[in-house]
Amino acid sequence: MGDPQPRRVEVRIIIELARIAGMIVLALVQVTLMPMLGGVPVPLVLLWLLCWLLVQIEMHGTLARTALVLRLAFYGGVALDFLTAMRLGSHALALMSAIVLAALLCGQLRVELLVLAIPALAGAVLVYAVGLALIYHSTTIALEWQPYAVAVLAPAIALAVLVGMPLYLMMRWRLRS
Amino acid sequence: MRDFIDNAPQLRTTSSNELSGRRLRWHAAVLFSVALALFVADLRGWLQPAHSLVEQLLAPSTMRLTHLHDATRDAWQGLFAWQQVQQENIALRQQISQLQAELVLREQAVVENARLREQLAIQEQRPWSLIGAEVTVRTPDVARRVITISRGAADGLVAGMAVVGQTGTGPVALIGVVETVNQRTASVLLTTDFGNRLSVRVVHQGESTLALMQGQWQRGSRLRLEQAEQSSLLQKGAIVVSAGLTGKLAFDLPLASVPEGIPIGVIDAAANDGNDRYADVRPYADPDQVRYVWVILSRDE
Repeated sequence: MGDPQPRRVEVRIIIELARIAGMIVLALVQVTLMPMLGGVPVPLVLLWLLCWLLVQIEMHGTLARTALVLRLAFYGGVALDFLTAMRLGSHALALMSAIVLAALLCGQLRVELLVLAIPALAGAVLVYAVGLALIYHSTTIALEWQPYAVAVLAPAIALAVLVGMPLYLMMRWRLRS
Repeated sequence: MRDFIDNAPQLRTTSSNELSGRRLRWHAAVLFSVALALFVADLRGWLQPAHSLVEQLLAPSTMRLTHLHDATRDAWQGLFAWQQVQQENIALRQQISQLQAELVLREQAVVENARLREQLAIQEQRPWSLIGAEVTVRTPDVARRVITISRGAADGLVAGMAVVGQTGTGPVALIGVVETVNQRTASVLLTTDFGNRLSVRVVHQGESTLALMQGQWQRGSRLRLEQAEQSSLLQKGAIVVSAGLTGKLAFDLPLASVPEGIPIGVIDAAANDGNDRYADVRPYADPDQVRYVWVILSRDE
């Protein structure tokens, strides 16, 4: 029969590899299949992770799955960096910052999560986009923040909420049922 | 005692939460540290071979998926297209395209003639040596306007080469400059990115003016001309082509590979305010829409 401990480690490794593969596929879908709406790309990896985090917080509490979502954000971020010729770690840092913000927001405020979903999505996308822009600003060229906020950040947040809310509601309904 | 017994499960939960909280903080600290270490290592160029290898491995998949996306988009648009109107539209666009191309060439020719230079070279309308490339990844996020193409160092690409493309039936025009080159792929910084600055020549009614062009996507626009020569006014409808000054002045910079005379766009709105000259430029080719591009490897003298 053998010792059950090594088998558990093997299973864990396989599950982790499956998660990595899943995040690579999601990143591939984001950079190739997702349409740009009004010239603004849809950050699919971020939205998927955020919605899943919100549903998990609702079902299991703040701390239960945040570590896992952070790990998934790291995998997805590195995959995005490889696919988009950005410095390795750029997307990972931006994604993880957004996830931490959303988890803190939802964990601290004792409000119905359905109400919190919109500010959580908007705030997280803001952190993600500003994070990436800061990296661009510090490594490539100094951005002008006011026009960037109006022309890029505001549409990106609006689009993320528009796409993210149906995704969140769908995940919520599916996991609850 | 009874209070203690009643509170026992709660104490256990609090203790378990503290443990989870500590574990989460530890987890986050490790992941952030690893990401930061990767970032610094890549910034110093230590991870370039890994970058190149993974991009090369993923290139076939990304290309197929991008084609699938394009095919789906075409099919979706086709559902709503009125076939006859579309055909007429295509015919008219082709006509406009030909006229635009002729106009660009004619305006350039007028300037060249006026200066009595390279009269024979004008007959060679496009004296470039080109290599075609598929677009494998388009702009994926809000940070930068960059695309990945399926050609790399193995095909003779180097950083700074000009990349031209065509959308619809418009003329072939500059869409970006090669930024980084891997063995089989390369990333192209689009002209619309804020980080892309090029010297350009504005051609209008037999006169030409030098100016600096910068991408404006991060500021909510497309292309903008600044620092134009003060001797002449910028006018709506004027044609903008690359000036190739870096190459002419023999600066040892990547942009020296960008030849002169590549069509870029047409001035949409111009402002001549005192000594300031600036204008918004409508590009001939929309860099977000191109599917196939050509890299200018060299200019045939």
